[in-house]
Amino acid sequence: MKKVTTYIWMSAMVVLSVALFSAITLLDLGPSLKPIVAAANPTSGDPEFRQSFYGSFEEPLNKPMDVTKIGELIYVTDTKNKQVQVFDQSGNNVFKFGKEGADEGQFQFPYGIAGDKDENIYVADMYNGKISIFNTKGEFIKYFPDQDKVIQSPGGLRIYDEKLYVTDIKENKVYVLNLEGKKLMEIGGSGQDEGKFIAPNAVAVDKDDQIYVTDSGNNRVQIFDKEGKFVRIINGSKDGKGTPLFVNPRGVGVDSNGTVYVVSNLSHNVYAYDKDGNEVLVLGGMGTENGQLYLPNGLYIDDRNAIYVTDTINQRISIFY
Amino acid sequence: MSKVKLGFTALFTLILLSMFAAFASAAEFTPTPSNPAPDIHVGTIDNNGNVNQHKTHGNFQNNTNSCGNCHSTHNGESATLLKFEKTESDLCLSCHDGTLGFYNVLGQGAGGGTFNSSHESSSMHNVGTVAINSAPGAYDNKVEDELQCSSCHNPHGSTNDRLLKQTVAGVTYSTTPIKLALTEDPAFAAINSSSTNSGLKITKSIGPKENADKVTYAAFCSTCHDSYLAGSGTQSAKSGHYSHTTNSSSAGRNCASCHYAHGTDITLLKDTAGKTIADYVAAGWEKETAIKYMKDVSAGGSANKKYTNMSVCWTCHTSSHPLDTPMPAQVGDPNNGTGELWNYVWSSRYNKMIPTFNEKANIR
Repeated sequence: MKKVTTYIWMSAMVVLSVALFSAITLLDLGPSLKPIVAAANPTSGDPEFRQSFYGSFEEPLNKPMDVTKIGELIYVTDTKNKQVQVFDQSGNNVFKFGKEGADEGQFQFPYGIAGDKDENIYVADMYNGKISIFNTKGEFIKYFPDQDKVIQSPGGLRIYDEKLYVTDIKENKVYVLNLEGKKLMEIGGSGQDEGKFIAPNAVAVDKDDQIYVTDSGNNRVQIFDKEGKFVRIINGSKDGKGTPLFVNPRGVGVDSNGTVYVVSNLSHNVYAYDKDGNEVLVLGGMGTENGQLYLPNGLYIDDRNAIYVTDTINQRISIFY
Repeated sequence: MSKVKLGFTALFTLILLSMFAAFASAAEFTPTPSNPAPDIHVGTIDNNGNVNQHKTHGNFQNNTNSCGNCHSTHNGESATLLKFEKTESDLCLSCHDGTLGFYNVLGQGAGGGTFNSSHESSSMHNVGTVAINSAPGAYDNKVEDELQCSSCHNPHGSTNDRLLKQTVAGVTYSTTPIKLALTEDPAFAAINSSSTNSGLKITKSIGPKENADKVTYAAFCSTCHDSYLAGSGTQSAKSGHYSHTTNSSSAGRNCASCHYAHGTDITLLKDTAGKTIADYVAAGWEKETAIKYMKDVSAGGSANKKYTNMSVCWTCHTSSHPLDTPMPAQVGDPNNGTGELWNYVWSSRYNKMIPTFNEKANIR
């Protein structure tokens, strides 16, 4: 090859690299490229701490209670600030919406958060007793049309397959509604028996449509089949029949392998169980260091098995994968 | 093999079998009030002679790991080995923010008032931000520690109702337990009527229960607000000031008659007639107008009061003294007991009919 040709090729490579680099930087494509790279280069082995989101410098997260991913953005109920903060996957605070109050678009205790397939955002407010729906710009659209007026104090909220699953903390029930607001099923009632709850705080559904409900007051997670029939209990003991390991359990999620993750708020851990109920992993531990948690609450697992945990006292979202 | 050896083998087998049987039966355990967990047995009668009930705080299990929630054996931030001392109230609010359904201290329905600072005219015992000796009326109280939930409550359990402490700010005010007038909260009827909750009952309070409790409760408040503890017509030896009676069991003459223990806000405040914003809105007022009406404009703030401004004075002091104040117009006839706000009531003290606000009956 001629020397000149080599020089031309080398310069072309430099120019192209610079062009790509500046395009990513100037057009801010980083957040959109990061998940593509992550998907092409999956991590193996047990999930471990990767990064934390803290919110804006002027207004950091204050008692973040729940987190979800809708599209490629991460939405956090910033409960004490009575708003929702939105992050891209690099942890940049993109925007926030909501303010204190009892009117449309306002919050008193924003808690469970979930998105539908059109990427509308549903936010449960435990004190206002309503679920508000916002568009992707954070503009209030309407209240969730709860046709039978069953929802009193909504806590945990998830949407799977066009169905809305919500825990009602004061009613000690879990409601399943379609997105038109028609009640399809309810599970629970007050008590300690199987199938009963004291203050259910979170709900998740696995790929077999089994329903996982964190029964916080009874220190356990109960699993139901898709008809709402009780299946079994996870409480950290063998077969779920012994003394609970959990202290005030909160967020729950199931990854694509069927591994169940449970936040134990007062022991500052996230416990993971395989399909047979054996403990496979413990994340967190009380503290302020990276990967540690202090009074963690909400938990969300995205489609790439990344685990998002709200860390209320450390005022951050920690991500494990 | 000798007979003795055989005998021992049989005995050993029997022991193993009985152990197995014990384990097998333990798996099917049903908690009861006197037996909340396997191998844990508690008395059925509590310190006050009542049926012992489930207590989340206290009644710790023999295999407890709960100490570690708040204490660190080797890395504590205080002499009591507390970790994260500055965030104590956050720890309490992990459950008492409503996420456990009952005993929400940020709600608007609790007997102690509210710690919710998001509404107008709010004031409260500002846990985590003020020193104990900054209490109004503090004279002998020189305690510089920060006010926390645990300044008044003992998370480990207490013989007093609502986990109230026996010793506050270094002062043991009484050795008689404080009983509060607790009734089962109808909002949690389903939990209260459940037979499987090892005796868990959700109650609400309207303040100290018996006369002696009102006096003891005033002594409890006066551990910090010491110069405010006052009898009728006596000058405080500490401050030299005169004070409305605070230490009596008579209605309207103890701390809890007029003040909430936790805090107040505009949604809780009442006027002389005992009406709230919600009452006026229900009667057709604009919400904004009702809020402006109920706003506490006192220079010193709403001071944990149950009634807005100084309106509670008039609820009791209607006509007992020469300076008679005209009573407000109302629906109904006060002469035959149908007055909506007030009625003429016979006073044996003044030996005459005295116009009396109906709300006076709610002041304990």
